[in-house]
Amino acid sequence: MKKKERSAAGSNTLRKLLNLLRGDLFRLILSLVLLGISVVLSLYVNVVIGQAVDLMVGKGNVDTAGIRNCCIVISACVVISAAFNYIVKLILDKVAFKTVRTLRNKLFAKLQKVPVSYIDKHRPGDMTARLINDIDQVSDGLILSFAQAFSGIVTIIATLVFMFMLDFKITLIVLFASPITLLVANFIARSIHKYFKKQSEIGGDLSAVADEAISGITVLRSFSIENVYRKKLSEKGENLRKASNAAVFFSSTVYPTTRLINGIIYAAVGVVGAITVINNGNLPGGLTIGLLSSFLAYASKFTMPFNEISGVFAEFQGALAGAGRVFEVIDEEDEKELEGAEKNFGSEGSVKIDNISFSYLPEKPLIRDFSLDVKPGIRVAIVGPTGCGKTTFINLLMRFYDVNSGSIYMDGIRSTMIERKAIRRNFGMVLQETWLRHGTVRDNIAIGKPDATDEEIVQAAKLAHADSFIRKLEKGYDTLVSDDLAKLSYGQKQLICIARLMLTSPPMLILDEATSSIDTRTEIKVQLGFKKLMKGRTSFIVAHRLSTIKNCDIIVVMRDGRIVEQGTHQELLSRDGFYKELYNSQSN
Amino acid sequence: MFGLVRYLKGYRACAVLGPLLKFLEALMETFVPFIMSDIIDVGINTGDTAYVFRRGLLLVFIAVLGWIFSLSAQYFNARASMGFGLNLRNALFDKILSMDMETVDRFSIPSLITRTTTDVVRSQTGLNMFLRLILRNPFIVLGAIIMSGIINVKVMIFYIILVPVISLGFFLTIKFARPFYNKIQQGIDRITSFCRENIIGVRSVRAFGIQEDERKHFENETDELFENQVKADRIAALNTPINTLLVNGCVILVLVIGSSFVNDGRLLNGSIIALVNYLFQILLAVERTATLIDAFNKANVSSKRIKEVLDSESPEHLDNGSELEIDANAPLVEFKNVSFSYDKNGSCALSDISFTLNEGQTLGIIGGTGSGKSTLLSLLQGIYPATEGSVLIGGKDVKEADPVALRKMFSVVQQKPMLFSGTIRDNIKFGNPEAADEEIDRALKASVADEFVYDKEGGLNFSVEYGGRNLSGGQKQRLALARAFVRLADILVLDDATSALDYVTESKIRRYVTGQGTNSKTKVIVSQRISAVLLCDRIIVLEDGCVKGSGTHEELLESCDTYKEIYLSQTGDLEEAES
Repeated sequence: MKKKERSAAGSNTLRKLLNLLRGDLFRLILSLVLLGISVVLSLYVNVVIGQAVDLMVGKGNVDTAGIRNCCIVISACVVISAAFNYIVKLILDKVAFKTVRTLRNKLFAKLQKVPVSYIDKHRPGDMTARLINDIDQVSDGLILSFAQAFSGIVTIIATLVFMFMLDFKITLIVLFASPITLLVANFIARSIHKYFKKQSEIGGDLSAVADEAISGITVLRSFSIENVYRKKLSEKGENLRKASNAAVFFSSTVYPTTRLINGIIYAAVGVVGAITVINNGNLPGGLTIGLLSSFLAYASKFTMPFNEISGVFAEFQGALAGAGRVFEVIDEEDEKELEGAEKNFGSEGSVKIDNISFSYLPEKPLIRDFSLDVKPGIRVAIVGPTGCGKTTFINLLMRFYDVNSGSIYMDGIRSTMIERKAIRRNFGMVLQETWLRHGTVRDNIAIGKPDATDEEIVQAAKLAHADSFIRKLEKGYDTLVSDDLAKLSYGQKQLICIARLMLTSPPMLILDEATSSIDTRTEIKVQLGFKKLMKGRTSFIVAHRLSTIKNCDIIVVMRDGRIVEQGTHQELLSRDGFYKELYNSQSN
Repeated sequence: MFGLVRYLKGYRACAVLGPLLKFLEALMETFVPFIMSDIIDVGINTGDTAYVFRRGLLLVFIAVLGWIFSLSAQYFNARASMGFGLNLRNALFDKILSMDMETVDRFSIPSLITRTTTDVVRSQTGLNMFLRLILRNPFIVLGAIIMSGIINVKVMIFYIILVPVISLGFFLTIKFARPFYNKIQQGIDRITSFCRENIIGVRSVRAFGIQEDERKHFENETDELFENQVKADRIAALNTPINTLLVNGCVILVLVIGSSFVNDGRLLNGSIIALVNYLFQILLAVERTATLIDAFNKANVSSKRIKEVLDSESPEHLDNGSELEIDANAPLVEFKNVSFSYDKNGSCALSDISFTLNEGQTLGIIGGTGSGKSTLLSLLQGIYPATEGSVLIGGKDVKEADPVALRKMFSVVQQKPMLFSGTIRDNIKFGNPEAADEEIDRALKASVADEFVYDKEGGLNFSVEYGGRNLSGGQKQRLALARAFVRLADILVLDDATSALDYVTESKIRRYVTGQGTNSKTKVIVSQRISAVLLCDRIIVLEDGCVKGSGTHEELLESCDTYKEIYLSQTGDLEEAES
């Protein structure tokens, strides 16, 4: 049952892939035809060589003109075969590269359209593995190995035809003896599987230990426990050595063993063939010396394509699995907007939250019975212990996620009736997790306003107190930065993100721990900048340090997904509740 | 790869026997066409069926012999290369564990991990491939050339010329395609990191509505990659057709010249067949080598990276059980005009720092990011040597102290807590292997970790996953604190060790640390928060690597503007701080 399902999924994947290749169908068929001709011609050369040998019978008995003709035929075959071979490779590789490009572009474009929740559910490494490894596997395993399999099949058929033309009896020997090679190779491969499994298990284990020990080297040292890990690693290393010895040795027996069987077949063909030639008297019409040599050439290579095809099979399966993983993403549904949703929305800054609830996992309710009425221009602070739902609330506000029940109204319009893009355009956002795009510092500041002038950009950086450190970078505003590079400190990255906000000045602001990585003295200066920016704008501020939000118009205190208190700083302090407890623990 | 030969220790005999047996196997293979030509020239031409059978048996015998040689060669080769890998990994790990922090930083930790794992595996695979396959092919080429020489010297000369020509063609195509391959690799790296960044920054991308922009950028990258792949392919794909043309050209030569030799009776037609067969053997061997060389190159790059680490000059830090001799009359810690810069010509990370810390005292160090706090701690523990001035522990200059003995003086909690896979008990016991469960319990209570530890399945036996993945940042920090609390060391060092904890928890831990109940009586507390250092006997204020003030909390509020600003920024109003 399961197997059936899986093979159905496999054929489904295959159909999608073929769909992708439809535009290249002509090119693919052409290249297969050329490939077939190339293979047959290169095999035919062996027959001609045999004929040439038969034209040199002995001393004084050599047909020079005939041999010359043979040589001309050989040259023609080889030149055509080599040229076709080159053309076919170029065509097929190009199709493969193109398919890879299309798949990558589709995958990436899809990632821009799926719901944020889908991205949150997958680790970045998982996606990049699909983008790179899986897609590469598709091109290697499907397109290129398909060509290999095809040329293998043509080789087998053509070789058989040539051999039957040369001698029927001996061909039967080859035909029945050759599968033994395959059986033996298969048997070995299957019986060594367990060694490989063991090797990769121990290997993974060992890598984890090494990784952990080296990452924690300062701790290992400061507690003088290097020897514990030294011992652990060398013990695991010894286990790995034993396992690898077995795996590597047994896997390396495949080729010698198939060579042995081939060698025996070769000897048998040689002996039977020689006796046939003797009985035939080496006369044209029957088997001759030259033709026997052609036959031997075919026999010695007959099992090669079989081995290749069986290798192709494994690769094909892997590629299909890889393609499955890629299509799983590509076929994911786009995030949808409701019909009739507002496309252009310019907020005046009123936000009403009406009894919303939300959870990422149904069994773990996160935000419950949450209501809040925010008038335009109000500064709202959201405080509470970690995990109380502050950041989740921001996710709902920006519609990265949608509420499970209840509604959020913006200027009186239900937010699900406004397109996400339109909502987000009204918010300026700085998050605790900074994000820099690969590009210059200038590009990064201008991300929300690509047509900004240099003066505007510098002005924004100054407001964010980022100008002075940016000028000290090796190329100032033209310094290349990216999220992965360690060139900038967290605090500096955060300042650049703040500068972005200073440049765009949207009607509403979200600051989620926006200054958490900046030292407190710079923070004060940045806060003053924020203060100017917030004037007249509805702002939502999430902060850990209560001293930074004391002056907000409303402070909302959250605990376990609920609002437990709300009011101004003074009101909350006088109430002697959770807020006061939090505040006192910080200013003690 | 060859620079690492000494790591074959214990497996040298295998590494010699393996290739030797491979050579014998290759020799067997080159006998085959020769014997077959005998069958034709002698057996068929004289009609001697018995001779044909004898030679046929010889062929089978040779095949079996080749098989035996080959299998034993594979066995020795596997042993040699896997043993080599083990030796190499152990040596590398030993080296890494004993190198000083400057060298570790120079290589970077992720790179050291790759070198110990992936690079070692690649090197051992490379060695195995070398012993097994790369050596076999030259043997076959050599054997084929010699055997053809036995048949006819003139033809052999063609073969001797052919081999370098084929190799040259191969190396030329590789050489011209290489720049494109490099570009392809860079392109793939860029695509990967671009996609990664896009995923990590999904909220920012969507908040700014730049999805379209990102998509276009990505497509430009894939277009460029495609162009380079096509260009590289045009060159690399030339290889096979060129080889086919060369070898078949030689076949024609053999047929033409050979036929004239047959004509004047110098050769028999069976020999011609053998000569052609040797030609194809050579072609096959060269082609196989070509495909192997690329893989072998990768292994070579890996071994170079390993060698770099093994050859790096770094003082050896080994535990010889000694303890630091302390002068009881000298202050426990003394900084004398210490300056430090990470690279020789760079700006100072610390300049002209002087202070003393006596036994039993608590020292607080406060300052913003980049003020030099962590650097000061590194100098204190002798992780980096002072560029100028001296750091004394118990009157002894840390530069002269045995680094391992020095480390035993400290119990450290780092900013980024690092736990290891194993049980919670194992992790805490790293602080003190002798610690009994009661002591561990005390430490857990002190670090306010008891509540969550005993809630977990198995309590102390709860198994921590690799790097502490299955714990939250705050939990990890509390366990790291507990680990330091059980340690028996003179000086407790907390490097911003409570940053992930909420204020209530932090204040509980702070009370314990500044109290008398700790194992270490002398303490150094580093923080960005005033509240963390408030109760210290002395607080040093750092800014841009300089001491801006030093004294108790009250004294500093009076005398130090920087301290006052920090204080106000954390407690007071913005307006107050501004004024």
